Amino acid sequence: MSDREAEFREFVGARMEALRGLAYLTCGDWQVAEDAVLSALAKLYVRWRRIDHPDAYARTAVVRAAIDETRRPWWRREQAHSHTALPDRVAPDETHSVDERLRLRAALDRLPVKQRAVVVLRFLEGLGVEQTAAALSMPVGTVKTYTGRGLHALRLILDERAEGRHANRNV
Amino acid sequence: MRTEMSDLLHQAAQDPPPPRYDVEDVVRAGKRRQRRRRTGWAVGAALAVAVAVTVPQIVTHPPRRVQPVTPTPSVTTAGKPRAINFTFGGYTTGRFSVSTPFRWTLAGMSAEIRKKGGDPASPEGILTVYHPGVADPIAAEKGVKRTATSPIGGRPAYFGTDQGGFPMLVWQYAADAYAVVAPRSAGPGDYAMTKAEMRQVAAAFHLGNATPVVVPFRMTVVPPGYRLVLAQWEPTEGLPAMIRFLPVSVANPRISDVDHGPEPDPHSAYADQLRIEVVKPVPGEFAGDSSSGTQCPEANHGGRCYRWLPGDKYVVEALCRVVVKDQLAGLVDRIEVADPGNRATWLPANRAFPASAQVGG
Repeated sequence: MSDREAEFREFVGARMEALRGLAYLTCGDWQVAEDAVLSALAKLYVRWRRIDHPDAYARTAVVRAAIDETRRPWWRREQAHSHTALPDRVAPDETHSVDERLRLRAALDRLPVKQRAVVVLRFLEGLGVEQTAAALSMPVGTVKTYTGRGLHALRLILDERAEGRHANRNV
Repeated sequence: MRTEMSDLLHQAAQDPPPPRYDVEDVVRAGKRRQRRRRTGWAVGAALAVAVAVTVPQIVTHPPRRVQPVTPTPSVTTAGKPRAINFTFGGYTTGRFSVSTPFRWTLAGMSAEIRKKGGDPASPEGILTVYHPGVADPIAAEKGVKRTATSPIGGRPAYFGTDQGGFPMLVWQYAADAYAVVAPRSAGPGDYAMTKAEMRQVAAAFHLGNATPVVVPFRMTVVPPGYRLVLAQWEPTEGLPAMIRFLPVSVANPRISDVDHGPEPDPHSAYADQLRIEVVKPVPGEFAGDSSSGTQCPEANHGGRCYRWLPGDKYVVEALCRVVVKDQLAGLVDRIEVADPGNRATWLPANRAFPASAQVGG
């Protein structure tokens, strides 16, 4: 095995799990997220010797791949079915943390995919506005708008669900 | 809100299902992708396998520096360069459409095959049309099984299958001229086109008016002894243009594939290739910006220089292990780039490179 391949393997071993989470939050489906990560890391393999900042490259490639996956025709068909199957409100769970997780996942699922990607890059990965704009090839102004809209929408959805949970508990 | 949202997002990504892929799967996918870029699927997996076994042999020591090559203004020689043209255009047949060619090599031209309602992220297959006089590219490959099929356009045709079962359709489209349809493969037995569909695409193929191959830059100097062997663009891959030159001793129009990938066998003559690429970078891929000038990173034994183009949207990069750093940097400095995002500004390849760097020149 070459040094190059050994370095690549080490990088993938260290980062794959985090990239899987990033892709999942972007596209909302673990299986699709894994396909996106595989596709992005395969591209990285080809260009490995030439990447100055592998972390940044991998992060961007994964988010873009996750967005691309949601544009495939079969995805739209699947989503059309899965949305009709999704409950309008997530039933509260016995375990608070699981409940919180489900609530946020459902809330994220209701954001348009690029808005979701902006929120994820900014608040999961901690990227600045300009870094996010570069990663998603969109103007800085759009990133700011999507950040504001995304947070506002999430807040509304989460508040709405919290109210629903309280209502359920009061019954 | 920032901290709270960050915590919530981290929490939302917890508790994932067991992973379906591991590091080995990623490396395999990377090697597949490397082979696909290298062969364009078109010369079959037989060649791809032959190339793949060289991958573990990648050098782990600094590559040799053969005699320094000084980029000097090229002088047009007595010969007239061969015309660098595409000789067919896009066409449709049933639900399939074949793009205008995206790749020209000394051996042939390649185009994407897409299907109405197919996966927009990936073509169904690749059509490669070899220039007249280039020998059947599959016949000489070891381990390829040939199965006769009825003639196409009145000329001989056969299905070739390599050791891994990867199928391809080979037919003669003119006297002493061959073409190949190779479907996308998601694994053994899982191919994007049936044999009937491959025949359908082949039967509808026809030559058209010659149109010049265009590239988004002009080079006034090319290291002596190098010849242009490949020009292609891959807009979906963030690689608007890729050009390869090989030493004249191996720049042979009869080889079935002149693209030996980013990591050719380091012991072969192809490893001395010179590649010029215009890249639409992903953040993190290249350091600096257009104010940084030409940069030549020393990491991984060097062998590459690049500069950002005005606007910081594209990068032009040169890679060659045998041209010394200062000379490679000088070569990059002198590349005159058009607008990579606007094909109308691109230049015919015959005018974009010194005649001495073109076969026949």
